[in-house]
Amino acid sequence: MSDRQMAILFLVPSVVIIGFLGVYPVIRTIFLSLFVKGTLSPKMGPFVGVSNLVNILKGHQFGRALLNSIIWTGGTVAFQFVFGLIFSLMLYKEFRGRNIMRSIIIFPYLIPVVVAVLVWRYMFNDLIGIVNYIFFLLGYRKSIGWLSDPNTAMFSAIMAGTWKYFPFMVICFLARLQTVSLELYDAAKVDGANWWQEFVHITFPIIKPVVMIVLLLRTIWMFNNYDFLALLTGGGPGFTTTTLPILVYKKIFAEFSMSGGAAIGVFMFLILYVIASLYLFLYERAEQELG
Amino acid sequence: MIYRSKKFRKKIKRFILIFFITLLTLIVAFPLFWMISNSFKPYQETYSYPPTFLPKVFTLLNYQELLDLTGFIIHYKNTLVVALTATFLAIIISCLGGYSLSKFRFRGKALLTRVSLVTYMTPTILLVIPFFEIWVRLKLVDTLFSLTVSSISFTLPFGLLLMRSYFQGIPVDLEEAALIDGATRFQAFCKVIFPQALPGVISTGLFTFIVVWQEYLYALVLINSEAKKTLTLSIADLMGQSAIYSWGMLMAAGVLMTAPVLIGFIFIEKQLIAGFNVGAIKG
Repeated sequence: MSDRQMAILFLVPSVVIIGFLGVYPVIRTIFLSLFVKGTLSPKMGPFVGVSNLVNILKGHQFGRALLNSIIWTGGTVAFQFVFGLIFSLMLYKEFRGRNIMRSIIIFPYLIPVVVAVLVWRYMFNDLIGIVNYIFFLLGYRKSIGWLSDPNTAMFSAIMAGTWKYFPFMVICFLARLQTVSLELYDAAKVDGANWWQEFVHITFPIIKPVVMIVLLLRTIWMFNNYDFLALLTGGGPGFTTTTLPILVYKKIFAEFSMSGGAAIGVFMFLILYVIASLYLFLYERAEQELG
Repeated sequence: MIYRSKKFRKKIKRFILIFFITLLTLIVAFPLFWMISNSFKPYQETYSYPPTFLPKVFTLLNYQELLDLTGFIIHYKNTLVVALTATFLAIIISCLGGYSLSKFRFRGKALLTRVSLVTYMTPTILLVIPFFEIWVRLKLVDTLFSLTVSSISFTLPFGLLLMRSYFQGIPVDLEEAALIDGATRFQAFCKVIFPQALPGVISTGLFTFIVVWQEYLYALVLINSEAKKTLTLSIADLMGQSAIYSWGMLMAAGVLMTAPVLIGFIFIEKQLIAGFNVGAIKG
């Protein structure tokens, strides 16, 4: 067997799976959105063109879910970035106990989603939750149903989501900061730079290429995220935390409209591919920059 | 004197900084602590208000009830089977593919890399549509087999890119030396290249395991019968019951589900961090 044949043979499983994943679903989703099709019926309904897409845009659910998606994605990514930055800036200088703290910080990211949700639901409980107890100690005596009150549900979900996913940013920033020699900071100290100047002129330029990529990746993943919110609130109360992925699921498996779900999917793809092409552009540029 | 007071100020600053880091770390760790603590409290104590920090009365009853009264053991076993099989397959497929991508030139290579990057961005909720259709057509809904194969799909692009970058880092000379000694490409791959790329293999494996271990959506869509449920479904069911019978029992389930991930993490922390640096795991 020649090298060439072997190269191709080795690639077959990957190509099959990735083709099936990267290409087929897109085509199939667009295709389905042009017909009427129920989830459980094996037969394809009549061709209706873009009327599924138009109906989705006309309905009030899509706009609301899109707004929820933007709030959820923007909120979690912003908070993750802030905490990611704070922790990585604190943890990259040497001190005793640093390694153990670093490991502890990563824990939330490794904990299974359903377990994270479980603990937060317990902590957010209106009657016995520790969050209310902390507010009680601080002098606020009303019991709040953090996840069941429409006013607080999204905010609480964003907080829990931030806790679950921020360590990813810490890991990425730390990895990048590790490549800088500490001498650079010593030199800055000698020159009399304060911590803010240090941050603006040394630290931030170093992590900048990583920041862009990490922000985009997390934006994409939080936008796509189904399981965290589905398990935490199920999209409720009411419609308050129903993001686009949850809406797709509801369309397909609660309203049994495969084509309705697919139509929302088409819009999701459109939004994602704008973000994705930006990501691809930055990824390739960063690969050059980082060597 | 000035010198000493400056030094003193620096020390105070450092102390305050470390104090803050410790405080914030404890806050981050708190939910985990809270879960473990409550899993050992008796029923009444998990509902007590004000809550007790550590169990006043230590009990294993929650664990016993969980294992005796629910299908937790079966679900644990199912999840292990799915996660381990998926891990094994993902390692083999991404090693072969990554090696091929790193060592040979052929048309469409850049495209394949690009497409695997793009699959990162495809929402799992939209993959469910074609997957569900296909498994229904093949009459393989409600099997661990269909769940395993579907599960490999989300970590493969990551594994492929990760392994490619590992193989690229291995000097060509090393492989050529083996080829000159009369080894075939395949032998060279197995005996020389593969051991060199072991850290990458461990990262790929661990990531696949962690992702599949906690997977929810595919299990939700594909699995119906009680005997084939995975852990996420199991815990979601317990949580979803209109009135939660016992928070302690739920916390015990959480502890048991988290245990293998944390233990694995402690053993191979270094490789895991290395893996984060090279690529990025979907989550």
